[in-house]
Amino acid sequence: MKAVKISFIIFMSLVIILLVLFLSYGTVGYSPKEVIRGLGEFFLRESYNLYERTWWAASPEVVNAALWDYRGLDTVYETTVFYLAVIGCVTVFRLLKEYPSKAGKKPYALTVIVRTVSKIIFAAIILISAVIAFHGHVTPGGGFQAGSAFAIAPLMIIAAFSREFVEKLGLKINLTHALKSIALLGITTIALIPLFYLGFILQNQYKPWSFFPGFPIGGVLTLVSGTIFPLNVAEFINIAMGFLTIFLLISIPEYVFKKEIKGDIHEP
Amino acid sequence: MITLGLILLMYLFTVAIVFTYKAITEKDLVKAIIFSASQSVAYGIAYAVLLAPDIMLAYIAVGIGIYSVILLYVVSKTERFERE
Repeated sequence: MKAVKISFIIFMSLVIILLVLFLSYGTVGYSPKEVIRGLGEFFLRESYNLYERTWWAASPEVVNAALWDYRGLDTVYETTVFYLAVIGCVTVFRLLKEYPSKAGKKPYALTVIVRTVSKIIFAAIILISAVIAFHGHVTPGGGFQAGSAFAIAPLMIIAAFSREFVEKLGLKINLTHALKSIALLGITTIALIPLFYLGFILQNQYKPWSFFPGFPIGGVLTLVSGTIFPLNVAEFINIAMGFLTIFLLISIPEYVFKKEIKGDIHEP
Repeated sequence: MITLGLILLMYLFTVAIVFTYKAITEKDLVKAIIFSASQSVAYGIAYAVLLAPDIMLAYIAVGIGIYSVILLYVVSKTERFERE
């Protein structure tokens, strides 16, 4: 057993060293070269090129430009997959009507220290997720990252306080479900608007070979990067509310489900 | 500069591997989840070293927060200690 452990450690160390060498001198990551490869050079030069606007995406953040402009349909399909996954989860739980919480009984909660710290961190997480989403077209960030960061906040509140506390904030399952669908509808609408001007699906800025004039990009201080900012916000709401729906569902006590699915159990 | 990045990455991946090993062999499943989350912390920093802050933001939220909580939920439905 001892020999197995030691050989495992030696083997894994070798794997790690090879992985690091590969990552460093190979295809991705920490490039020791001072020359940028062709593909990277294209995106860095064109994504916020104010003088030569044929290929630009109006966003200085190249990752988000690739996510929502150059490879926009990929992200739309990812969003759809996530939406369908949440729908599947809701179908498994099949409980969208409210269940009565026990009146008069004080909800279970943790100590004062935990609750106070949770409140402070709750506000911080909401703020940071908003920054990641609303500033995602300028600095590293974006819709998915912001949505998953936002989802941690109600999760912590459920753990530290109770499920009822989150519902008292107004975040009930039906509302989160509706907001999620509205956000997906928003993404679809923004994707389809250029079609009415004889452009392409998910077109962001003007291209010489299409008739669509392009979305407004805003000024220097109010840069919205055409579709990238609204799509980031819609994705943020979609992901955050999708995760929140799942968390609200898994925090319902088990006896409620037992009562709910009683009629479905087949007894021979 | 590249040497610093290499050493940092080597350290982080070693830490991650150690935590992964501990998570696999641990019999207390709650502790195993905490080890798994620690591995996610190491990988999150590794993404920052690899100059991919976009991936890091999503990885921290999903790897440490959401994934751990869903596993904790699963453990709460079964037994906490693994039996031989």
